[in-house]
Amino acid sequence: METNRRLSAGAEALLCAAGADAAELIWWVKGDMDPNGDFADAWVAFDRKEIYLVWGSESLVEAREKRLFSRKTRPTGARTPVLRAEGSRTWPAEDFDELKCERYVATGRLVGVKDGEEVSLVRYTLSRNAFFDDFAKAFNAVKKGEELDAVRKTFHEEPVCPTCGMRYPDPKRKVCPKCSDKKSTVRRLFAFFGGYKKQVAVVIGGILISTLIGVLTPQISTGYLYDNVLNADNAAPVQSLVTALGLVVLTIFGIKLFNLLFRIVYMHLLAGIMPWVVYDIKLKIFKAMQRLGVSFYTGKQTGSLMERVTRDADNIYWFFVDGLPYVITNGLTLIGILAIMLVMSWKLTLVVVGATPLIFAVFKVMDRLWHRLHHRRWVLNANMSNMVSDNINGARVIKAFSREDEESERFAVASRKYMGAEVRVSNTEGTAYPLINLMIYAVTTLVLGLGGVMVIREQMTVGQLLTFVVYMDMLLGPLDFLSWVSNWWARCVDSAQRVFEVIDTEPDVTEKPDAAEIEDLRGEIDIRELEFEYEPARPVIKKLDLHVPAGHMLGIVGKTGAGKTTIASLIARLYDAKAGAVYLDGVDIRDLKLSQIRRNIGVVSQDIFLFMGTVADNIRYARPDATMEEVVAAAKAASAHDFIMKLPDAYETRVGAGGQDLSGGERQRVSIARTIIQNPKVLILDEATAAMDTETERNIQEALTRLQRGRTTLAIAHRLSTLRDSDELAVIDDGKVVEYGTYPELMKKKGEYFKLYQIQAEALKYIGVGD
Amino acid sequence: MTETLAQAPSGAEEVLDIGILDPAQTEFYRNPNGFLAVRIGESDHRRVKLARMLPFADPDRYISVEDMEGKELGILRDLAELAPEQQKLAREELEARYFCPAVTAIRSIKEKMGYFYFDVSFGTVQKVFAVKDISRSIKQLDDKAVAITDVDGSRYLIEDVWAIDGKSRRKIEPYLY
Repeated sequence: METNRRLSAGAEALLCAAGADAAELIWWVKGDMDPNGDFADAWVAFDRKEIYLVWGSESLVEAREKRLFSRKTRPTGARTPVLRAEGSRTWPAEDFDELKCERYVATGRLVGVKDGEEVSLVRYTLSRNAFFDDFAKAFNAVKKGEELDAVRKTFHEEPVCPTCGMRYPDPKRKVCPKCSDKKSTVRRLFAFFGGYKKQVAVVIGGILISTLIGVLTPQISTGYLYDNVLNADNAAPVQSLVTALGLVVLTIFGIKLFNLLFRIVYMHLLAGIMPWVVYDIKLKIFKAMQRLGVSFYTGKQTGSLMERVTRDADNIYWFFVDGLPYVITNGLTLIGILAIMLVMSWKLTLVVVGATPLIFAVFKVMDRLWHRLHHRRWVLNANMSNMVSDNINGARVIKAFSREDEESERFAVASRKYMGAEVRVSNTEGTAYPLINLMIYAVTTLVLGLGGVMVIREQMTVGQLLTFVVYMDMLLGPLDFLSWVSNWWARCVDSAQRVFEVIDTEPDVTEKPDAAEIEDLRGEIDIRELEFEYEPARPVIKKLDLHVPAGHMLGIVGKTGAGKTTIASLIARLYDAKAGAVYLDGVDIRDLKLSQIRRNIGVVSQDIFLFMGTVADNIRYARPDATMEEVVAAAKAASAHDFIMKLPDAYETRVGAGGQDLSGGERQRVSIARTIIQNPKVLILDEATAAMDTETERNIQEALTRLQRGRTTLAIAHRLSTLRDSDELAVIDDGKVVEYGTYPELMKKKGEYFKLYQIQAEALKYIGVGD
Repeated sequence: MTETLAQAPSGAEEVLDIGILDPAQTEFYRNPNGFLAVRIGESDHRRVKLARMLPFADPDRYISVEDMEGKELGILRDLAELAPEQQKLAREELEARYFCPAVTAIRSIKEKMGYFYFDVSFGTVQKVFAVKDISRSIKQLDDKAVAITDVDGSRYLIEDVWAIDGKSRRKIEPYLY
């Protein structure tokens, strides 16, 4: 049978053993718990007659083969999954009207429902939640005689890498940390330097020359100096020796100076290129972020991704500025020195090369230890700083409850822990460094000893031996650096990968290539059988139907969490529905140009965001070409003009982060003015005045009433008085419309709306407001 | 409107009564389909949920008994006040809801692209799970116990960090505070 997922042969055999016919199976899901709730490998499948559950344990068994002349076997490397069946159950499919998934704190349960009676089928951990939800959907569709293919399109894909089985860090993006093509990431990373080829060539050339000079310097500074100038057997007059010495010193100084100049030039060049490269990267990220849908920002998985992006760009920057030049320098130095040493004395070089891996390994172990100790110190320090800032922010509360002593004690505990970590770091450093030095010293002594013998036998000169030792010393730096730079490089590639992930992410709300544009939009909204969920198995909107004729005002009331704001987001197409659709003037909004939707649907919500800039900039945000007269007209219509004129800088007052503080009501009026300038056909007021006092609300209400004229309005509120002027009202509960009608109709019906009305009227009386 | 005023919620005494259940009046049983049900005094609830008020610090005390709509029927002060058979039923239900297997060894913790992959053992079972935002996902409950929440929301518990082997402890130690 054809499915988008394969059932493993073992699972198929188990299901068949439980009575299923593999050819008849319609859909299945892999679970991870047995009926006792212990970890196990389980499969649930259904055909037209039965639902099957089998469980057991699946393990990869390595095939072994017999060795020659031995009784032992050895692994061949080939692994085959082996399934051990532990049990099975079946239920007649006709026993259930539908299947559903229940979600608990850390597990879920597949439940069969017949006439309202619930039967538990199987439990699973939350990682399987989405797939069991799909399974229930598949069963319910087949039960209702619907096409499986139609629902299957909405099914989730396993968020694991098909190659290695590792979970994707982000289920929405199929990038496996293990199998992802590191090479292509590196290639793309270097592609950012494409525009700076000449400069890069100069920089690399500079690094090469400066390294070469650095490697050759000891030949003069030590070799020549000892053998030709400071040699005791030298018979030349003192005068000329001093001159020679002076020349050597000057030459060394000259070389160093020359080298330094070179370094300054190429570091300058590099510093000139890198900000541009990082600028390119950041710009690309920022553009990608603008393109992405709201879910990208609200998604739990991606939240931290966004936080890290700027840091990632900096990571890349620092590696290229502070790391890469030294990788080249150190790598070349290492090779150069070894080559020179080989030429000078292959015997002594052999000793050094023998010790090198050991030193390298020790550096590597130390690095890992350092990392662990420093990380712990960092975590404890962060904990302590958090406590300090907590205390500063909560100073009033601490004093009010006179908890100063307890807070001090709490801080003392955290501080002591930090101190412990600090002591451990120092102690380890204090022990490890001398030990490493001792080891290096031992190698040096060995070389000096052996070299001394060679000097006595006149196989090499003193100068050569000393030069050799200097080179040996010069090896340590590159060895240390190269032992830990690989981690740095790995972090840089990780960062690059995340950056490319963001750049490559496809927005989940996309415009169709043949998207239409309605001329003369009237603003009629029709919502049919709308379904939506933020998380699998937690539906927020359930088969919702609503109709708002053009120019009408619909009031939506309901409890917190009933799904009101989600409806608004779906109309504005910030998300796409799971099933059903929103129609604007009879056209599915998914077939419309996004620009038309955004232009024609205005949202005034409870949380107002003002951008950094002047009040006037903020008002004309939707239409930057609006004239000053239009801005003032909008501000007047929004009852914002008066308060704006009271600000010293009037329309030029800077607001947003770091700007003038406006009160909630003032900000709301600016946002209403912004929407007036946008002049949308459909207006969504999402609890626009919820956070305001009655006086302010009344002012804003007037502004809103002016704004609503000639527009289709969807007003969401929990304060019923806000919705007095609605043509129709809808009561939403649990993602469904439970009541719909005009105000008199609903009051007469004495249903949900009436109940809400009563509660609020009483509450108002209780606090002495209202009539 | 005077009569509606009289119906307004009024008594502070109602607020003070947090609805502690009398263990003698509370009787759990399994309904024919295997779900937990309860009789509280005269009223019979065919299926109920249990929720812990202190899921980590005090998992056996302060258990809220709710109907399937999430309305609280009452609070059990301590599971130990129930008869052993009753306790068993309640514990099974809690176990199912708060599935939290105990980690016995940590084989490795690796960071890949901002996620931490934990390769751990639960007795004989081995599992790899991914953790995001490590400072928030690893909760140190007291001097010994550590709770880890993975990307899916599944929870794992290290009952005593000092009781697991040293190799495992050294792997988790850098993330504790």
